[in-house]
Amino acid sequence: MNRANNRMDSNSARIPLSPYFDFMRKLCSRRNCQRFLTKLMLLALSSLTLPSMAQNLLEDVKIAGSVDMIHPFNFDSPSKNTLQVRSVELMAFGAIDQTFDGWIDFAGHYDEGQFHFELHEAYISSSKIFPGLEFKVGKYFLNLGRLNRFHQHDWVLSMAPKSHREFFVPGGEDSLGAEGVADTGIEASYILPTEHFYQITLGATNGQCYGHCETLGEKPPRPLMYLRPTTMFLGSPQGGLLIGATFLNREDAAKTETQLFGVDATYKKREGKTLKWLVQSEVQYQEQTPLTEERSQKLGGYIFTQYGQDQMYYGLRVDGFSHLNKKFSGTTQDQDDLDYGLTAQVEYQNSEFSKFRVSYIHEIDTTESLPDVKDRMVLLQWVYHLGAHPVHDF
Amino acid sequence: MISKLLKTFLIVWSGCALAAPLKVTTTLPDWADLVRQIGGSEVEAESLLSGDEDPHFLDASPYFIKRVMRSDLVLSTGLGLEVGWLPKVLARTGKKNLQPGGEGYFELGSVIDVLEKPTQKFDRSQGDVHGQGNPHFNISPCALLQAGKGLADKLSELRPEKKPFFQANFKSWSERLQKLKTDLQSEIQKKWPKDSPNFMEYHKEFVYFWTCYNLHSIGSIEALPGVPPSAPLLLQAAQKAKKEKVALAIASLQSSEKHVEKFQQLSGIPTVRVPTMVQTSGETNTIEKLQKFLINSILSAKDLMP
Repeated sequence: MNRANNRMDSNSARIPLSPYFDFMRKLCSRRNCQRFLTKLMLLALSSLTLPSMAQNLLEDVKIAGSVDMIHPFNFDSPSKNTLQVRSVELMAFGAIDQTFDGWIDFAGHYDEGQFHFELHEAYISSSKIFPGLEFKVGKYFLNLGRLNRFHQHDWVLSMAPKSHREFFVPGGEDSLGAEGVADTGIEASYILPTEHFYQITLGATNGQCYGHCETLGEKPPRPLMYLRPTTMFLGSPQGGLLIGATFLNREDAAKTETQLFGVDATYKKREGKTLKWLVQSEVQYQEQTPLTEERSQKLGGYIFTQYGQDQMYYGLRVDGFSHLNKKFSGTTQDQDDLDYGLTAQVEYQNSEFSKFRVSYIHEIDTTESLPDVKDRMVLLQWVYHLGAHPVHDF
Repeated sequence: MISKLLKTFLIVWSGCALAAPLKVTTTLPDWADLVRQIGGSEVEAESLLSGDEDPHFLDASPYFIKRVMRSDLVLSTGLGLEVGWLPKVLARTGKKNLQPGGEGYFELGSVIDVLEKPTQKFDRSQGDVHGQGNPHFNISPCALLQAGKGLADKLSELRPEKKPFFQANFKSWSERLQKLKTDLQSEIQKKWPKDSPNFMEYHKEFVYFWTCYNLHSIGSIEALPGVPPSAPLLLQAAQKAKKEKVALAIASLQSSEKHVEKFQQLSGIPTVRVPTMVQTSGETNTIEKLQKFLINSILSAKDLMP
């Protein structure tokens, strides 16, 4: 087996081998990515198959994979109505030593018709240095609002709300694939030594890439900074109401300053193994001040309610988004702008590790004096997890 | 002068700190009761769960994090029962000593004789199999005695000067529990002098209980652990129960009411839903009361027979 491993390493650029690797080669378009992926696969496979020594070496490394498959049936733009693997994630995580933990996460997704594997997250973290303190350094999804903290396959929603797409994935053309802001930096969270639960998260990242980025982009004049205080009310063993606020400040290389303020709330109530009630909501307000143009103000949010019974979950979401100071072209006259959406979804959880969801998404963009733009679709989604999926926050 | 004052302050402060009761946070209320019995006045025990929850399925909530942060010792069941939420809660506290491997963390599952430890390769196609063995030992007096001994040793390790106190408490508590077990066993003997009838359980959480009281179970209604049975599987379980002349099927309060009722309709065998954890309030708020309640439920089997 060791010999086989060495042979694979030395020839990793050509990857002959099994149909499994051929398949992964097709998925992966970049040569370096292929090499890394091959090694990661070997690590994952060896952890599953080698009984003794290799298992000991990987004793505390957990390997997990998640796949998110979708089939949209869009009534207004049916060209993308195909069954597709929206994302594949491969994760490895565990203790590095007595103080630090490590996380590596590669994600594959379609981008302009091609399936790419890319580094999603890679960070070192610790929660063993000072009571109440946690920090991470590296590339990660920023602790902003509710959705941005979770991988898309773990969302309770099948597609990002309009406000999330506008505020956290600007420039992303593909509304189905929009996920969030992942950047390289440092983030620290501290639980205050008070009777009640209060947590403050502070972060600073490079700010070169925000949302959907093809390339890293130019270095901005200052890092992206963010702050997120959270607290909990109505806490009980089976649920509670978690409330958070988000403040973000960024100046990009073109000297456009962005400020974002948000509030999010998540209420959960469990009964036995079923999440009986879930209410999740986010509202964000964004001001953008480009160097030469007028400041733009945007407000958006959503509220999602879900009721669970045994293995079935029924959810309803209302979205709203508005460009508050939109002007008629070439004038200073205000132009009304409101985008809204309604999503109804039914989810069946076969187990903790696989779920099937059907959603009907109805979005309408209204702009004064322009015809309404409709986007209506039925979306089928199937998510499954392999391996030791990590435990999530509340 | 200042250094003397400082030394005096430190001695008094550390003396006060040592004299303060040990703060123990437990996952199940059963363990909080156990800590109170063995730790006595030297501990303050608080349970994260109230007894109404399914300990497999909870969130790593800030509600838990804040409580765990105040602890000197975290006591869990282990064997994978709380694996879905407790590791995250412990990590979020930022306290190294409370995390697995730290001196302030203890799994009672590590000191008992574990049942149903898989001996063959398994995967998720076989349901929610606990790789380290069945974790539902909190309702078995036999396992509780082992857990109590382990706890007394752990408390003695944390407070060596109080070792005789903890060991004496354990001795008197274990004698009480053994006597209770003997009494309950003789009630069972009185009801079924020859041999106990067959029982069945919804989820495999009574295995330690059956073994300890020498009761006979033909298995679980769930074909795969943690997976709600489909209609054909439920029918199969009902047929098997009828064939084996099961006297009573028992289920926890957390198990699916719909499936338990359907089983009763299909098999005609009485079912009873019981707490499988000590409840922080109500009539089963201690280990001893829960044991009596469970045995009384079992003893009702003959009367319930259709």
